[in-house]
Amino acid sequence: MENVNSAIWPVLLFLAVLIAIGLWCNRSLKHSRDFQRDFYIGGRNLGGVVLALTLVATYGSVSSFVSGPGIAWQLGYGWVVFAAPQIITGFFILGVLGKKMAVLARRTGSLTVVDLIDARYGSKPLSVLLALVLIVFFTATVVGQFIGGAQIFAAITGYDYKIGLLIFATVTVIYTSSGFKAVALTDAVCAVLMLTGMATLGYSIVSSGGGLDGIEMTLSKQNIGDDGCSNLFKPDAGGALPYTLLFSSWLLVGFCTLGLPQSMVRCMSYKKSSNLSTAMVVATIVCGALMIGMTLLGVLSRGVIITKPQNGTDAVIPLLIVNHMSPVMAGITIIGPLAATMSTVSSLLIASASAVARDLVKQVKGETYLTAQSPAASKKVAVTTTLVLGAISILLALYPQDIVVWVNMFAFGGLESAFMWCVVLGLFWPRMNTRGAVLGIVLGLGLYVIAMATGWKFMGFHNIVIGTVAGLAGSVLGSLSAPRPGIETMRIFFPHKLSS
Amino acid sequence: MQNKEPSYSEKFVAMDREALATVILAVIITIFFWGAVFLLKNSGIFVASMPLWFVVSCIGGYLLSVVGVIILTRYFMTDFSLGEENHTVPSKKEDWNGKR
Repeated sequence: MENVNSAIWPVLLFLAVLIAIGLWCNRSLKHSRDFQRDFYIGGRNLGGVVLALTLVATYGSVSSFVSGPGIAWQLGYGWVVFAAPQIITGFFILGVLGKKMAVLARRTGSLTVVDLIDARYGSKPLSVLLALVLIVFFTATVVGQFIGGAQIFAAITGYDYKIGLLIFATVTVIYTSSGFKAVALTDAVCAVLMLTGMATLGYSIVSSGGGLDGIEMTLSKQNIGDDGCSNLFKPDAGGALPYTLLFSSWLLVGFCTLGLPQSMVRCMSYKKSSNLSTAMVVATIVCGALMIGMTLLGVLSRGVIITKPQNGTDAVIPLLIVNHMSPVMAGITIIGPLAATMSTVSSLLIASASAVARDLVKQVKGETYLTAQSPAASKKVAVTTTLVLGAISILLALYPQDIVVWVNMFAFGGLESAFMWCVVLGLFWPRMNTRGAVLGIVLGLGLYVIAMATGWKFMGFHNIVIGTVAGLAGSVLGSLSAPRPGIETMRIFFPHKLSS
Repeated sequence: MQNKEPSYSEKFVAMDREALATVILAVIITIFFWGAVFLLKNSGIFVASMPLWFVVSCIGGYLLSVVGVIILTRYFMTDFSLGEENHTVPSKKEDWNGKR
């Protein structure tokens, strides 16, 4: 392991670059006149490429680099079918929600997703509920990401789990406290390094496995199914992946990514409509390449690592890096998963901070309390909240609690079940009202969580299907049973649907 | 690109159309993907040492997405102003300007 420790140098350089970006953004914040707008949404100044890269980097997490490829090692090409819907993820939310959220956020002065929901429905219980859902799921996800990032750091560098965690988690929290612009720019750097990490890993796998031909030969002799052919080459992995589950993934990581608030907030952060078009193209190219690419590398890694690692399939990628790469290459490659971790954490952390310091405060103390805050006071509250939430997450990752790990398991689908219909129907269906939104969240999120917690399955579908269908039913029934939204809401949100 | 800036209401008509075009593209990609999987999964053919169904559905689907989104942004998305910021701190802004 001694020799592998030199893998730390590229990592330290990477962390130094992120800190430098944070410091630079922090300086520009000093002259901010509308501090909250600059801190939470980067002054709505993102360009197309940065928008695309921050969206993809936030979306791509440590599991895209470790657990996903690990499962692909086990199941073969079938797992790429599960990951494949992510070829639409890059453009879908931007194309559907991107422009409307940008226009409405400006019109209503919204800086957070909950701000916009508050403007649409004007319901305190709904806004508080969603802010709390966001904080709980985001915190659990941040802790899960910290744990995953620290594990791979420890596995590859040989340093202690806690030391690795403290180093990169502290760096993440510090640059996040410099605001959204710092988060977006570091995300852009991270996205590029995720691609580099994937490229070095791919080169190492293909060359160690004896080329693509050699890998195909090795794969064809493993996991032989009833028909005498390798299950690794079948879309359903020889039955291990029911087609119902594979269809569900088009909701979970495809269509329903519309409901991820960390993606939504990015729709409110860019400058001009032309940025959105650029971002859609770039995000599609990068997101598809990363998600299909990393999963495919997991499949191909079976040509190099033939027996299942003792610590489970999560150890496949770390083992590859340690055993089949030079220390410097290993150092460059490990930046990939670390960048994936940090870019996800920073975005969730600043969104949680906005939910506490802006959304909840607004509901408890009233909007005038927030608008009356001077930039200096806003800054103190925002930065302190970010640091405190970051510190709590680091502590929870140092001393993992079962409950947090458990909540993290269904945070992704839970966020989708809670936010998707509330926002999508709220922006596209004039009839949608508060009762519909609340009932949709209670039924969608509620049934999703219950199904996940009890392990209940319907015909092999992923539970996101239950969450999505129940949420839609609740939203429609609830809305139809209560009055239409008022004329003011209609004027702002549906000016084209007014008859006069 | 456009000569005249659309009204607030006209922008919403355009945005609904753009959202619909995006959904249609996503559905086309989904159909292409599953069509390729089901038509080719038993072919037994390998391309570049990978199963044919995988190459067409996943790699082909990815390329279709990229081409599709380029067409979508070029021919279906319109350029217009996203509107003025409704500042959350309008009254106090001048005071702070003065102080600096």
